[in-house]
Amino acid sequence: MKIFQILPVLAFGDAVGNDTRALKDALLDAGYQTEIYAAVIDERLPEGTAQPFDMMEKVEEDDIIIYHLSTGHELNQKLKSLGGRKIILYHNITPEKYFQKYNHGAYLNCRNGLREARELAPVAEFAIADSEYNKQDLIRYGYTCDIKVLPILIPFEDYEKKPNQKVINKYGDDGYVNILFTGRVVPNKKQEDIIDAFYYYKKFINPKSRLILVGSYAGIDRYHEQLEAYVKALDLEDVLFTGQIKFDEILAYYKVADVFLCMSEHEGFCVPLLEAMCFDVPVIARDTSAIAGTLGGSGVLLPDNDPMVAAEMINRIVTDEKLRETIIRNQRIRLKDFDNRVVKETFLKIIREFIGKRD
Amino acid sequence: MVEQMEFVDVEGIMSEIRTQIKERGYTKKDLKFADMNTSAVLGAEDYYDYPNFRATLEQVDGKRYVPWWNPIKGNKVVVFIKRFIRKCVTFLIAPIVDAQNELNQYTASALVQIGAKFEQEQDYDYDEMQKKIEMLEQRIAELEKSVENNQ
Repeated sequence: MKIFQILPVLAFGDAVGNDTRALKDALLDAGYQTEIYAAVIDERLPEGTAQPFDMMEKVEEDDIIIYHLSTGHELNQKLKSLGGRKIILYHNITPEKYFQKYNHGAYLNCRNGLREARELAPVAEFAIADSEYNKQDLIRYGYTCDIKVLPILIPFEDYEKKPNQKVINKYGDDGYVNILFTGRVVPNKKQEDIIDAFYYYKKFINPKSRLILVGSYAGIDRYHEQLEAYVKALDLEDVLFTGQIKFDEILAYYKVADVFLCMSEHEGFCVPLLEAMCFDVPVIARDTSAIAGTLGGSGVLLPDNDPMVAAEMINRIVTDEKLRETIIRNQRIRLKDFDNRVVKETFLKIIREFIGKRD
Repeated sequence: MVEQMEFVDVEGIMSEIRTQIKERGYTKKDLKFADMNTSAVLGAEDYYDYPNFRATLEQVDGKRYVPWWNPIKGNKVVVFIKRFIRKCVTFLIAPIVDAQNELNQYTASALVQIGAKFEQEQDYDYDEMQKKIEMLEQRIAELEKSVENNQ
């Protein structure tokens, strides 16, 4: 029996790619024969990490396919005709409405992906969701199989690497309050709401403050341009769009951050929340989608996108040392739930039980 | 021993914050993110919109020539230095800009022709053409039938 992981794109450094590779390691360590197959493999990945899907070997009846579902792709259709027992690992697909105004390709991709996710329901013998929110999505899509929640595997050891000193020298310890958000510049992450909150914070509470929006805007440039135009029209200074940057620079921005502000409207898991926790940056996040589930009682949840409330909450956390320490302590406790060993053990238990069902 | 999270009274903080907002004397900004016109910002749409297409086409046509020579402004020293630099790089820049202008010329011409073709097609009465096709198909069928009968 072999265990195959299949996904449309195995990217370098993204959440799904890291998860896939970590699961492969866990399976290998547990003595399973396993391989990753992807339609597109990032060239930056070490050779042998995965094989092209076109070279997919024959799948036997007792083989297991773990299919990473996170986007619309022709593989979603091809999966149906493959043999073996199928597990759908759902990472979430963003509702297409967010891209309608900005990128027709992304709009179609999400729309198709959501349709294909529904079509895969009868194919799935079992499903894994990164979050309870994603599990509920699958149930709504008609998945009647058993669904287990398994957090995404985060490469925490990477966060111990050396941060970029230039960024630290430039933005650390200059008396400014650094408000950070990391994540692709895409409409569902509502960077405009972050800008709104920053506007009130800077104008009415603390002029010596800076907003750092880390994340790529490739492919969704129009949204980014609109955000830039908004910042300009508001006459708002000290807003930094970094675009896609090197990993050591991301680490440095976490190092200099005083608060992590997330106003996302739709997240399937939201890895940056855990990254912020890892760097002891207090998290303020809007209570939507999977956010509360990922925070698990830590951080601070905002009930809506009221920018004045968000601005005051930033001020409270920056100025109230005791509150700040409590939040950080709670975040450290929460972070332990995502310990790689714990998640890998849970994953292997799920696999063992799944194999046992057939036996 | 499993560590327990310490309770954070978010409700209480929220209540204090709402009082604080009243005291702070915020003035609501009028400008909204939605007011930012994306097409004006970027000038590029990835779906077909005829008026926008026409406007973009006019922009392409009007801006196809890129001059490599521009008047230099500034005080005498600055003008002298900039002129010197321009003379030094002319051999490099001029052929590149000329080649780019040639490409722009062809690209703009092709796009304008596509635009004209679009407009031409918009003038077609497709319903009328469909009726004509159906009529001709019917006529062909009748003629074929009469040929068969005559044989």
